[in-house]
Amino acid sequence: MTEHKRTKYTLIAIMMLLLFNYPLIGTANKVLFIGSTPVLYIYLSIVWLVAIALLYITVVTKKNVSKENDE
Amino acid sequence: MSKILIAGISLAYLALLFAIAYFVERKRKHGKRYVNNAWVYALSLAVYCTGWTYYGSVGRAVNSGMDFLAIYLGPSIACALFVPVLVKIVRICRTQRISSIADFISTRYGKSFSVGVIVTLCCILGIIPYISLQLKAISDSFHVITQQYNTSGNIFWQDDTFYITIIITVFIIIFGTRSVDASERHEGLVAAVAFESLIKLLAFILVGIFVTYGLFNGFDSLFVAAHKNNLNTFFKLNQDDSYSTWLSMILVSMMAVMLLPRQFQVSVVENTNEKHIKKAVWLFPLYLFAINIFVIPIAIGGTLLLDRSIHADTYVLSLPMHFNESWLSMLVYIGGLSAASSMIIVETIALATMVSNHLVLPVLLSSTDFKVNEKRSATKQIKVSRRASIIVILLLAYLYDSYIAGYFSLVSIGLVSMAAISQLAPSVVGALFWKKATKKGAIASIVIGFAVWTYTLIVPSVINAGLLSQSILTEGPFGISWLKPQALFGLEGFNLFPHSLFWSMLLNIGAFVVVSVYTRVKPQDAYQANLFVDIYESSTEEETVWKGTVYYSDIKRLLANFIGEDRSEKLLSSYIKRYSDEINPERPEAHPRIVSFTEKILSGVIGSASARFMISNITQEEEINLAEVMNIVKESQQVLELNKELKKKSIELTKTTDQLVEVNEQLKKMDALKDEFLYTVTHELRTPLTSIRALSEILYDNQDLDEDQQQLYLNSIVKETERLSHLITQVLNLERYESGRQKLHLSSENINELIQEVITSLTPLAREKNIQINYIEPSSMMVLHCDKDLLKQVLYNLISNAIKYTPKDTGLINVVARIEYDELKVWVEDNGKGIPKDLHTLIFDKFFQAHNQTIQKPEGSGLGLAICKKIIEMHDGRIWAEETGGAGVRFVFTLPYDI
Repeated sequence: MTEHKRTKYTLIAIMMLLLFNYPLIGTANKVLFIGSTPVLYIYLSIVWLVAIALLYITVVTKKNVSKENDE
Repeated sequence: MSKILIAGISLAYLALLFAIAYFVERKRKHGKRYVNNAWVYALSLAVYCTGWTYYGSVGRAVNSGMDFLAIYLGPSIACALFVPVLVKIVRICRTQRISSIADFISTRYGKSFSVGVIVTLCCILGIIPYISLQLKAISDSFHVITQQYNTSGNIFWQDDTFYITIIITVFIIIFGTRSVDASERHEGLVAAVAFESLIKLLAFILVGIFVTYGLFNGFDSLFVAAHKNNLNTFFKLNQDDSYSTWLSMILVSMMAVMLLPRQFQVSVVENTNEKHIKKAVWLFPLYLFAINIFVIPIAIGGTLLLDRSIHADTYVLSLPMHFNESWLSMLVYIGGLSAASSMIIVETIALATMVSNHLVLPVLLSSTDFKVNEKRSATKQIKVSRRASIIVILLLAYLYDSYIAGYFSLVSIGLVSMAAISQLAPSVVGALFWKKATKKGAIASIVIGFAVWTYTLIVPSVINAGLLSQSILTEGPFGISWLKPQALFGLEGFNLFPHSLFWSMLLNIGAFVVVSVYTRVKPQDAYQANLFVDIYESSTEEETVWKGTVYYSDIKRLLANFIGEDRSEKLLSSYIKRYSDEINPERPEAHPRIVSFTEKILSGVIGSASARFMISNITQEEEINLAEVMNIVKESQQVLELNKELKKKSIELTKTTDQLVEVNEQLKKMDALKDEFLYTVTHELRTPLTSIRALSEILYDNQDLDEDQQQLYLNSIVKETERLSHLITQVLNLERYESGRQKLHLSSENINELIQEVITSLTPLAREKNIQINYIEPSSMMVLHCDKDLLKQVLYNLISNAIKYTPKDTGLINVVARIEYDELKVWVEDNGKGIPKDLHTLIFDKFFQAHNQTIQKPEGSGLGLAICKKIIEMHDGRIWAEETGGAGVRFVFTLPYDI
C-alpha cells in the first residue's frame, strides 16, 4: 500500500466527517422537501453513496507511479 | 402463530447454521476454503448490525428522527480508515499471533498480565449488557410473533430466553472451541455469520419493500402521508444540543466498529488475507446503506397504520403480522434471529478467549499443580477453561437480562457498550503510532477512561433506576456540586452521552499522554513498540530479544503440553530446518530463536502474557537491558536497510552490465565492419596496381614493341593510376567528413547554374553510352547558401552513378530541382536496372558493397553514396532512394531553403 493511497483514504474520511456533521449537515437539517422527498434524506443518501463510490474508485485504481514503494 | 411452530423453525434455522459451519469446516480439511473470499469477509463484518439495530433503529427513528443513522455513518467513515489502520493491525496480529483486542493491547505494552486483565474486565462490564440485549431481542421477537407475552417473575425453566441461551451456548461451544489455538480461524463460524448477514439484510429490505410499495404507493406517498399527519420529526435530526449527541455517536461508532471484541474477531483474527480488507472498504458501507434505506419508511408506516400501544421497537415485525403476511413475518423473525444470534456467537467467542487467556489461565498456570513436567496435557484444560468462560458469559448475560435489565432503559445499552469499548481507543492508536507510549500510560488511560465512563454514564442510570439517591444528580455526591455526574466540573448544557464521552475521552487521553511521557520505557515495551509502530519496515523474519539458558527438551515438552506431541514436533523440526545455518540441533541448549518461536506459538494458544510467563518459568532468563533491546532493533533495521541498499546496487550493476554487453556487441560489429572496409579498400587498390604492374612489365620486357602498342599500354597505365588516386582521394575525403575535419565554405550559389555545370561536365561520358540527360529547370532562379564544391560532388556522384547503371542507347536520366515549402528538393532518376527496395537505406552505407562483393564484382568503390550522404547531412539536409514506378531508381536530396 502506497503512502499516496493512505493519504487518499484519510482525506475521504475527513471529507465524510465534515459532510456528515455540523455545520454542513445543518444546511439540510430542515423540514423541507424536494418534490415530496425530505431534503435531509436526499442529502444523506447522496453524500453516503458518493463517499462509497469514492472509496470504490480509490480501491480499484491501480497506482500509476511505479516509483513509489509498495510494501 | 403457534409457539411450537416458531420454536421448531428457530431450531431448524440454527440447525441450518450448524450445517453451514460444519460443511465449511469439513471442506476446509479437504483443502477447499470457502471463507478465503473477500465477499464473505465483508459480509462477516456486518455482524456489527445486531438485533438492537435490526429492531431498534425503527424505534429510535420514531422517537428522535434520523438520529439512529449516526451509528451507521460512523462505521462508514471508519471504513475509509481501514487501509491506514486496520491493515496495520491485521499485519501485527498475524506476525504476533494475537487472538483478541485484550491480547493486542497487552502484547504491545510489554506482554503484561495486568493490561490484559484490565482490558478484559472493561470488555466484560461493557459487553455483557449488550449480549443480554440481544437475548432480549430474540425473546421479544419470539413473543411478538407467537403473540404470547411472557409474564414477569417466571422461574427460569419457564422462561423462553433461558432455552434460547442454552441452544446458543451449545452452538458456540461446538464451533468456537474446536481448536485450542485461539489465533486460528473459525472458518465454519465465519461462513455462518456471513450467511446470517445476508439473511438479515434480505429480510429487512423485503419488509421495507412490503411497507413502501405494498402498504403505500412508494416513497413519495409515504412521505406525503407523514407530512400530512405532521410527522415531520422523522425527517430531521434531533438537534436540541447543537449536534453534540450526533457527533459523539458518530465518533463512538467509528471506534467501536474496529474495537468491539466481535468486530476485532471478524475483521482481524478471522481475516485470511489482507487484500480482503480492500473489498470491505466499500462493500461494508454499502451494506450499511442498504440496510438503512427502509428504516424511515417502516417507522412512518408503523406510526400511521399500527395501534399506538404497539412498541415502536417491534414495528418491523408487527407490520407484516398486522396485515397477516405470515411468510414475511416469519422471514423478518428469522432475520432478527440472525442479527441477534450472530452478534451473541461472535461476541461470546471473542470474550471467552479473553476471559480464558487473561483471567483464568494466568491463575491456572501460576498454580503449583500446573507444571510443565506433568504428564497430562494442558490442551484439555485450556479447552475446558474456554468453554467454562462461554457458559459463564452467557449465564451472566441471561442473569442481567432477567434481573437487572428491567431497571434501565434498553434503548441506550448498545451505545453505552460502544462508549465503554471506545475507552480502549487511545491505547490502541498509541500502540500503532506512538513509540513512547508506555504500559503505565495505557493502564492509566483505560482505568481513568473507564472510571469516568462509569461515573458519567452508568451512575445516572443507576440513580434513575432508583437504586441511588437522586440528590447525587441534582446536588452532586456529598453536596459537592462540581462532581455532579451529568455536569462534571460544572460543564452544563450537554446531553448525557456527549457529556460522558467528552470527559472520559479528555481524561483518558490526557492520562495516557502525561503518564507515558513521565514514565520510563521498559526494554520489553521498547521492543514491542518498535515492532508495532514499524511493522511495515521490520523484517518478516522473527528477531529474538531473549537472553538466557534453556534446554531444548524443556522447550519441546512445554510446547507439546499445549498443542500436542505431533504438532509441536512438526513445527519445531521444520523451524530448525529453516534456520539450519544458525541452529545446531545437537546442542542441548535451545537456540534463542527457538525460544522466541515457541513463545509466539504459545501466544496464539494462551495469550502473549501467559506465553511469556510459561517460557520464563522453565528458563533461567537474564535481565535484558534497554540498550540491548535497542541494539537488536537497530541491527534488524540496519540489516533491512543494508538489504535494500544491496538490492539497489545489484539492480544498478545488472543495468551497467547490460549496457556494457551492448557496447561490446557494437564494438565487435564495428571491428568487423572495419576489417571488411580495409579488405575492400586493399582489394580495390590492388586491382589497378596489378594491371599497372603487368603493363609496366610487358613494356619493360618487350622494348621492341611498336609505338602504337606502347602508347596503348602507357595510356592504360595512366588511367589505372588515375583510378588509384581517385580511390585514395575518396577514402581520404570520407575520413575527413566523418572525423568532422572538413569545414563548409559556404557561399550563395545559383543552383540552376550548379546543376548545369555538372551536367555539362558529364555530357561526354553520357554521349559515349548514347544516354540522354534531361534537366527540368525550375521556373524561377534559386539561390542557395552552400558549399559549392561539395554540392557539385554530390551531383556529380549521383549523375555519374546514373550513367554507370543505365543501359546503352536507351538510357534516360532526368534531373529535377524544385522548391517545396521551405526546402530545396533535387532528384536524379534513371531507367536503369534499379535497386531492390530493401537495400534503399543500406546503399548509403559506406561498406555496402563489401557485403555483396562475394556475389558480384563491385562497379564502384562503394564510397560515392556514403560521401554524398555525409555532405548532405553536413548541410542539414536529407538524402534517400526511392522507386520510380517503372524501372530504375530515383535519388532525392533536400536542403533547407530560406525564402
